[in-house]
Amino acid sequence: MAESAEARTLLELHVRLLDGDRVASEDLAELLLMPLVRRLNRKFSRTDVQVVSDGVTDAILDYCARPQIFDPSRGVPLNTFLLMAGRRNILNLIRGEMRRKAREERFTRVSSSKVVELYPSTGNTLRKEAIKARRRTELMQVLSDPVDKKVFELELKGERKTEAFAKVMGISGLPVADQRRAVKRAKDRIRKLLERRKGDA
Amino acid sequence: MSPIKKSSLFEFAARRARTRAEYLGWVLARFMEVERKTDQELADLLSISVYDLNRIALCLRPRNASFATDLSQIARKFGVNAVDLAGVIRHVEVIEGMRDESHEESIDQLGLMMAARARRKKPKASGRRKKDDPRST
Repeated sequence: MAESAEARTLLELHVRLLDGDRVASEDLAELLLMPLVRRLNRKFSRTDVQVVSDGVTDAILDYCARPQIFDPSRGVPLNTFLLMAGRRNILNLIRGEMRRKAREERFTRVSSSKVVELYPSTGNTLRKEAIKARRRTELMQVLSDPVDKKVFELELKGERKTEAFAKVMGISGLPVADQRRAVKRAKDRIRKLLERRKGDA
Repeated sequence: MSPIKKSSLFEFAARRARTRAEYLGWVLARFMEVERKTDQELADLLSISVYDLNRIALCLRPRNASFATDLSQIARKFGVNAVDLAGVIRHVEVIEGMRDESHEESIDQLGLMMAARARRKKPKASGRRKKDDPRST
């Protein structure tokens, strides 16, 4: 009973649209937009409701702009016709979105591979740095004396001035020649210590 | 699944209608673009709510042949002042007309420019031929 009343209302709207009624499209949207979106939203439960709404809206707007596309003599009710059109539109929107995402991913892959081509050493340099840092930590653990650690740190930093080493060793007050000798001894001792530990490993 | 609001659906639908020249939504969108107005400002201008503005957007545009009848039908349904709505529609139509004219003019000018463009001379096959040509003497 309710269905036939709705079918009659929809048929009346169809006739009004064919007659060029300007507000019939809004009446149709008022009547069908919400139920069609709800139904298709259940079907496309993982799709954003705005995409579902756009698909249904496009179906309604397409039909209202050209009501001749609907043929009531075919026995398909107008709401079913619009439901099918809405479903098709949603699938097209989803496909379009997937294509866009695939394009973007492809672009990202291509551009990141181009970065590697432009800077081929980037990856290796980073890896080498990481290995060097790890080795440094391991060696540092071998040295138990905090002064030796400080001397070794300075050496790793590339420091060459005797006065810098003398400062961390606390021998800045000694004559320069004595400083030089003491620093050399400390460096040699540390080197031998590390080499011995490396040999043990 | 979050509940769907009717007002949100009409807002989405109105946005969709703004891209279709058959709908009043397209006209309203052009007006807002040209006059730099927001939805709320246009709704205020027409003394209606934004929700009704979105509903009007879903109506088909009044036809030129029956403009007054179509306009009064829309105005009656949404309780909007027909003169105000007519003002908005005519404003957009005038601007669109001017745009079309300027577009046609630019095409005409392009045609003239294409006709007047300097053509590259065809390279001569040989310089001696002219000398040998009996017509040159």
